[in-house]
Amino acid sequence: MTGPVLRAVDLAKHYPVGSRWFGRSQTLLRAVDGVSFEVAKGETLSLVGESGCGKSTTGRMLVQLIDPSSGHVEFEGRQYGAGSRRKALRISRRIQFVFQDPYASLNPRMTAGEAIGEPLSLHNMVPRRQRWTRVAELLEMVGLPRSFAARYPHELSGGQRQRVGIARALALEPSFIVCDEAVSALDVSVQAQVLNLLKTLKMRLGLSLLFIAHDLAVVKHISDRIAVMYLGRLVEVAEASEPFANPRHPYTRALLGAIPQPVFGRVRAATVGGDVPSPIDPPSGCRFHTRCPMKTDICARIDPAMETIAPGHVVGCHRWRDVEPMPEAGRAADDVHSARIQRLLGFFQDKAGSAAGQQELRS
Amino acid sequence: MSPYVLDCIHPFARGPLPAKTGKTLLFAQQAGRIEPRTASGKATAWQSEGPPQFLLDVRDLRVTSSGGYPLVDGVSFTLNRGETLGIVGESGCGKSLTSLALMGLLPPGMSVSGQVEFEGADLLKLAPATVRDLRGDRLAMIFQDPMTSLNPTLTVGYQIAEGLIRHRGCDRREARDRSIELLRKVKLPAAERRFDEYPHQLSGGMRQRVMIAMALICQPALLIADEPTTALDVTVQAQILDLLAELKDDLGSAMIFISHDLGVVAENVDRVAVLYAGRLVEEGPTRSLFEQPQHPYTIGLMGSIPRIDTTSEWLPAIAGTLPLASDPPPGCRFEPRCPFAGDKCREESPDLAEVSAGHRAACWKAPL
Repeated sequence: MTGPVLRAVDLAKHYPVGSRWFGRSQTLLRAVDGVSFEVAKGETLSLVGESGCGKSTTGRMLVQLIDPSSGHVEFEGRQYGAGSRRKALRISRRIQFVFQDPYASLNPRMTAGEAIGEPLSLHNMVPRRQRWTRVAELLEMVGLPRSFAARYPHELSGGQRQRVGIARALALEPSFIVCDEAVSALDVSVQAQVLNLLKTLKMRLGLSLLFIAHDLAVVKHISDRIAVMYLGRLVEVAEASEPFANPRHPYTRALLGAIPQPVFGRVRAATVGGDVPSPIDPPSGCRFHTRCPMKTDICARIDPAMETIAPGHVVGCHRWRDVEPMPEAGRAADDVHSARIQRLLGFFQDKAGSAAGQQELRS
Repeated sequence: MSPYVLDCIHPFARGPLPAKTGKTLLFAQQAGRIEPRTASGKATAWQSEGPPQFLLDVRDLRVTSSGGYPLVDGVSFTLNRGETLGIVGESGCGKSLTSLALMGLLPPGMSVSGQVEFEGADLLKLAPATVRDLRGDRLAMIFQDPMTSLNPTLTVGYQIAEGLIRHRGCDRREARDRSIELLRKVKLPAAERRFDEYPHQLSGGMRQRVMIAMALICQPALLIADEPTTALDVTVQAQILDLLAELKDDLGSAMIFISHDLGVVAENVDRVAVLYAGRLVEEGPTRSLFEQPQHPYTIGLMGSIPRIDTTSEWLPAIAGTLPLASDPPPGCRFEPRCPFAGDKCREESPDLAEVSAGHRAACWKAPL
């Protein structure tokens, strides 16, 4: 991996709320409040947090769907952000977006082929005569038969729709894709298929990904690095294995502890109480201090700066040294599943593999 | 602030509200629909003689769509008093329809057959009015999405107290007091103030606490929780799961816990039933099912779940998609996606057979 392909610098989005007669509203909803990160070429960075933490807003600012209030994005040598007047079409070709809800993000009046073909014609990607060949190629790339080009979204299952959404994002041959909760709406068995597909595509096409999700477990299987977000701020950024083995922010720890695992007799760690506070009037000092089990006096007063505690591991917490490690993280798969289940699961991988192989043979 | 619950105009009320006489009439009573009842005078028409063996005994439950397709296809299970059964499956497997059929809340056009014996009476054969008396009283349901299943035009307090007024003949003040007490029990902060608020003023987690209070207000013998935490964030989900387990033990209710998430089920239920394409494919004690799963679908589902405690890179996914209800495979429903399938699986549908004590699987290849 070389230098960063994308760099977000102090991105912020503030929405004015409430209004007064004449004059501007004074109250701001701080959806995203100063977020900076980098994504290297070929890397997958995941942005994790609970609803309302600003992760989707951040993703949308990267693809110019939302204009930041301050800060900017540097992408492939170009810079855009607060104050940029025109949408840069050329940038939007290189950075694409996969939406969460495959039911809402496809036009019900357009066939899958038309949906995938539209960006091709808008950007003059291929000569008109070759457009359908390209659409067929894209469909096969995401594991769908080319006959699906003629189908309308209602004729597709959730997983198939999401594959069409991915094919549409790939149509412009982007170097960067933002996936906003791309697998959250899918069933577990389909979710696993789409996760594996994204991973394969990323490796084959050398893509960089920003993978936005609320589920740390899902993120673990696809990321190189993970950034945890809380109430408009990043609280911890680390290599993918780190937050699981060695979480250094109490919020990361709480998120991990709260995830139910399909194991009999596991005792879930005590979770944090309360709800996420309102971003209109975020807590003073550390934003997590109202729910934090480890808070001290300093937390309510002083906002912790992001501190580099190890190469590639950044944390914004006064008490990161005292966070307990996860007891069960980092075990190999055969510790988790018994040898018998492990062996039986092997058959599933083979079947999935041979299905993909057959598809490639057919094309 | 008025102490009366019903001071707001009830949208379903017929005619003007009665003057405040100290005694509250039920709206249904005003409308002449039901007999006035006291807290102790319970309807008995639905009770048959002989002590029932199980609290709930579902036999060969079938739900058919208006087009004649089988959506729930011969599901049978039993539930003891105080026991928790988890029903797991992916969308379209029929788990929600099963619960709606038990509650008598199936959408119009769907037909249901089979037997649902609850406290000795067959719910499917009872008169609608009798089922209405049971619903919210002896059996209650927590729905998935607290935003769409709470009435936005009524205070949350009214929606909780309604059950007491309807089923227990409580007056407003008593209903209010008992509702607030229960709101404290479900750990809603500032319960007294929240009582007079509307659903939109609460967060998602708080709304789900209100839903739970609504379901538990009459101390039901059977509580059906349909994906009660799916719409919530993980930290809030953990809070609600802990709360449900605590309350259930407190009240001694039996519970059917429906979820798509094997992880959520693993820590909350005594027994698990796995549904696939409208059929029960495996059923057993939680420990046995998670440690010795026998049906290929259960095994595949377990492999598909992303885990926080492994280092493996690839998820063993189940290939293919759920068969359509309009075009089910002739043999085993899982056969087209099953890596173990043989000729017999293609031709003949397997029945549930015991693989170990209390653990049944519907697979020709079991035990694997």
